[in-house]
Amino acid sequence: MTQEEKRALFAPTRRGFLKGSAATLALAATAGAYSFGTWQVEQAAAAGGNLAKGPSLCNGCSSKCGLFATTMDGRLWIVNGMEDHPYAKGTLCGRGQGTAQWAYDDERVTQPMKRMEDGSFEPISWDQAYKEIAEKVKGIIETAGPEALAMIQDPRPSGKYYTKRFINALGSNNFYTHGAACNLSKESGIEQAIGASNYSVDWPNTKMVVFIGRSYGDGIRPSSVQSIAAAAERDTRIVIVDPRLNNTGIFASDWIPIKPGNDIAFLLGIANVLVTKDLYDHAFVEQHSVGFPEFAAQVAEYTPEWAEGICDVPAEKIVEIAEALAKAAPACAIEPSWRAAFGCAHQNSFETARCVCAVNALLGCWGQKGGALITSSPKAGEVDPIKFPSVPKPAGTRLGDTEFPLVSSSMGTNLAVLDGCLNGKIEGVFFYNSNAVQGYSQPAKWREALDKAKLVVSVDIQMSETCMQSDYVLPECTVLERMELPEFIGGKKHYVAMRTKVLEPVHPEPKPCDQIFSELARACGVGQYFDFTVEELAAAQLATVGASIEEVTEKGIVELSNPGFSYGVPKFKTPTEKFQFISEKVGAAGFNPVIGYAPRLVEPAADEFYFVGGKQGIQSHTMTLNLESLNAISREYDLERVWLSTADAQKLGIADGDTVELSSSEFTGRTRAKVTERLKPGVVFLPTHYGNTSPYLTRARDLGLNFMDFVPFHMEPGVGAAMTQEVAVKVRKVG
Amino acid sequence: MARYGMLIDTKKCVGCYACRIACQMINGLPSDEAFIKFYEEEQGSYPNVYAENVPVQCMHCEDAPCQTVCPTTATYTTDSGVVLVDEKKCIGCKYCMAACPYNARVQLHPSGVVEKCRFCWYEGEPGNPPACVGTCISGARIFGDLDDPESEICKEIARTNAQPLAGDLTRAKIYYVR
Amino acid sequence: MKDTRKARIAAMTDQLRTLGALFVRLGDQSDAAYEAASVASVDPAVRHRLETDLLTPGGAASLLPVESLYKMWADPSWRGRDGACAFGASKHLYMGDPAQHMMALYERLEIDVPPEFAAMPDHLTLLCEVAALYGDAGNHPALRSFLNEHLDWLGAYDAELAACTSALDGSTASTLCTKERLQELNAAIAHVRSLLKEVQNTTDRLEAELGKVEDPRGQNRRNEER
Repeated sequence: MTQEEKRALFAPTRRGFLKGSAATLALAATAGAYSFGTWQVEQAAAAGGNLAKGPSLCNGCSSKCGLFATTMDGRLWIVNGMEDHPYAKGTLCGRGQGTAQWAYDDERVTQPMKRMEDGSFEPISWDQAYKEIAEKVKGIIETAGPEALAMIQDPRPSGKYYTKRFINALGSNNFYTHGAACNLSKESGIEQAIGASNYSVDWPNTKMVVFIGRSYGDGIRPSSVQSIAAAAERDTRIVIVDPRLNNTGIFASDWIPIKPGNDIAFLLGIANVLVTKDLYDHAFVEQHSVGFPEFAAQVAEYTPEWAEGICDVPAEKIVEIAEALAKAAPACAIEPSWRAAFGCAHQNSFETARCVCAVNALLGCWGQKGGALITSSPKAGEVDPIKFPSVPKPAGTRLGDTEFPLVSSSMGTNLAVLDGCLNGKIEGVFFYNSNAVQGYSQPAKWREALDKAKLVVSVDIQMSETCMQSDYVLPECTVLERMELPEFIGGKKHYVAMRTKVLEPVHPEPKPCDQIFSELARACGVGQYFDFTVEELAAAQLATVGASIEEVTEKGIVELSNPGFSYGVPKFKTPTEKFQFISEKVGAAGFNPVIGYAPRLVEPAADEFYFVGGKQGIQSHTMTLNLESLNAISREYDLERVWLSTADAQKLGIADGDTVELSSSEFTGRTRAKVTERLKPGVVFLPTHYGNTSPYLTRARDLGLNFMDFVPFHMEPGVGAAMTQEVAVKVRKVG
Repeated sequence: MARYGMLIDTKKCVGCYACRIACQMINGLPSDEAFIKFYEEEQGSYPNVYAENVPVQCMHCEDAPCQTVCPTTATYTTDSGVVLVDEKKCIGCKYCMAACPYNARVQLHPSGVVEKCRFCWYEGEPGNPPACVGTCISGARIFGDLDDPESEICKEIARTNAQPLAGDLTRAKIYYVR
Repeated sequence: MKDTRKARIAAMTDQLRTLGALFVRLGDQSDAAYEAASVASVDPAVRHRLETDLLTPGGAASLLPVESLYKMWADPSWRGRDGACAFGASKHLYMGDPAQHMMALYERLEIDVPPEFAAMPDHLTLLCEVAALYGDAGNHPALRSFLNEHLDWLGAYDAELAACTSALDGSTASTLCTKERLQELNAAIAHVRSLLKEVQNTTDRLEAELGKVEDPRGQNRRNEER
């Protein structure tokens, strides 16, 4: 600085930001010696300070485990898993501990942001953001109709209510979950077989469980880990079918390394043995199913030898597993899985889910002690229609539902939005709690699509890769700073729990999503459907199940009236009210109505590998890597590395820790290799939490590779899932 | 007098790192310093492989080599068998780090004190239970009195035939089921 | 003689206050000392970049002059087991111990913190104002311990600014990295570092004038090194 500048700069000014009282100067002259050291002594003597405790639900993954957060003098002090919550059972995993930091994190987005011409972001006021968004929304509705608007969200208690209400109020049916990149195929397939989108294993009583790709030890829910640990202690036979020996392996009696995307052949091989050796449950099949004769006729082709040729599991192993299951039946099950191998991974994922159900049907384990249970879920009853008016159902069908008629109606395929942006059917997209660009399909394709849209709005707590592609980013306050609507939890028992506002918001600007969407609705001229507070709606919903905000706040979780679960064959809510080996709807969609074989799409060439992804217990999707405590673990243990089998590594001259280059049709990138015996040769495994590119997330940025960068944009026939593992990669050593 | 020890059942540990984070919390460690380390052990070769996560921390050895080599007696053992470090006496010479066969010693920055797991020892007693035990999602950790045959830890050690990681080498008080 | 010294110290703390006011997003509607910024002869585009990318929480190269971010969040060393806290030793978190002390101090001094500083009562701008308040009031012992306790992290802040200089260069997100923008950003970092250096010089001169203070706890050193 020049002397002149300095002189000008140091021209005295008394204007400042702090506003004192009349006494302030006098106090500063006398009582001002209240030093940091004095404060410390006071704090230590206060023995814990002013403690308060409030309940919430973890946001570290979609399990939403119950937790109590303790604050000291208003600041978060510690989080503990809720004893009575059926998923937490008194503990929280590492993510639960780590994500508690979010409220205070230095890289949250704390102001509404607007994207400028050059791609940079400028802070703007809420009012200005609402005004500009509303103008664009109205413009799109005028020229292209409300059906050119879409909402994509990863469901959270308040989010799933307010986002749907908002988009429907604007007149659009285009409401989607993240499902196309998660469990869409699996839930859609299960629905066609049993009339419910999911089921659970009766862990306390089971004798044998087969996992197809899913790992309780990697996609962690504390109660699941406790259940399987207890089952393993009882010598329950636990079979893991996975090209990778995952972290559930410690509980397993068998690891069956399978050729990725061919689980369907393994399952049909088992079905063949059960039928041809007459090991199936005749009573169940005759009384409670439709289409068995057609299925049996078809399954005759799927011999264990045929299956071995496709999935590379020895025929004798398939026979042995089938016979063991038959012996354990009905106290056994094929586990329903989640994202894993057939949630959204392959061209045949939907059909694989149906095959899982078919094997369970042959075993007669539906509803049986130790078998596969279809339990019910509670929900709020009708609330006052004047205070909380229903939004009229928009005309027309949701984009994607016609082309993908088997899609689960509660999810929809969000990739229809990507496609819609490309072909001009969609002009405005809203995202809530969703990093679609990074995780839902080919990121470059998402960027291209969103560049074409006239309006993209993201509501998030940090500048995700999707926010980077948005015209407006609206900051939400973090989970412990917000109250949400009640969360209803089903199972053998029913519960309701709720996020309460445990912390006063750290930053002044971010708002909870109920407020954001209500205010946005008002700006868009549909405020008449949002004329209530989240407290009012929560109280009304809770009242319908005999609970209250006070009770849930005090207890954290409230058990609702007993749904009266009992063992026995359940009432299947399919059109036929029976288990469906044959589905009319599947046939009408142009597919084989009878449960049977479908191949995967992409087969690696001679110099290529199967490419599989998966979770790590310490990270969640692409949203937790920037948290300092969790990031430190990934870095210390090199968790971002790509896994190669020892045999393949030797052939390629790659040693543990070497840098390797992976390339697919879409992308080439480098990372270090982990060379392991825990992987089937011919397969490469990459964890799916890495490769963040947002410059706003400095800890996450540039650590490892993003799995989805390698995957082409394509959609599974029938359901429109992302086919996240239909890709082959080449590997070479570069360092 | 109790003689405190721990059992870690690697057949229940999925490697979720919750114990590490809980330990960092109670001991005021920054994100990149930890008293619990994890070793992934692979046994056998494809397809007959067994893989386990082995969490390792101070074993509170009866014959603690770190205590023997400490030139200032900063490292000492309480009457109840918990090995502790008197940070006022520690000069940061790192002899203990070299002597510990379990690589369990961590030099803290910037104090230079070489610390380690203390079984969450505060004011004359260990944690009840230590933070890593309380937070474990699968019940893979048990803490208790090795001299009380009726304690859960003694019964579990007997039932599972749990052993210290390096046999009798240092008479460690953390037992492993592997 | 004594009054001259008092005036000298008050003049220096006044400089601190003026300098401190340059570390916030003043935008175009601030009623605070924006005129000082305009005379610091900084390119408006650079100043704009500084405000939106660096000095806005969650900005593209967000590095706020907030004491909590550079110190342990809840120092466990003096708290004992019952005071053990989630992520106590972590940095880069708002509302750490320094912020808690500042809130207690504001209450005693009957000072209101404006809402935009709710997450950062320990922002450099406010710390400088409090220093100036002590300077105006002539409470030199309080001023001395305040500087020692609350303005001892400027080195750590400067180090992070230095590390950030080319932070966006290596980024793979091309949208952010127009050349102009990078240049502006780097100029902004250089500018804020020069301002910071002035703050440091002023506090150094103040400390020299006030006489060195004994570190009462030895904790500051620990914090700084961490």
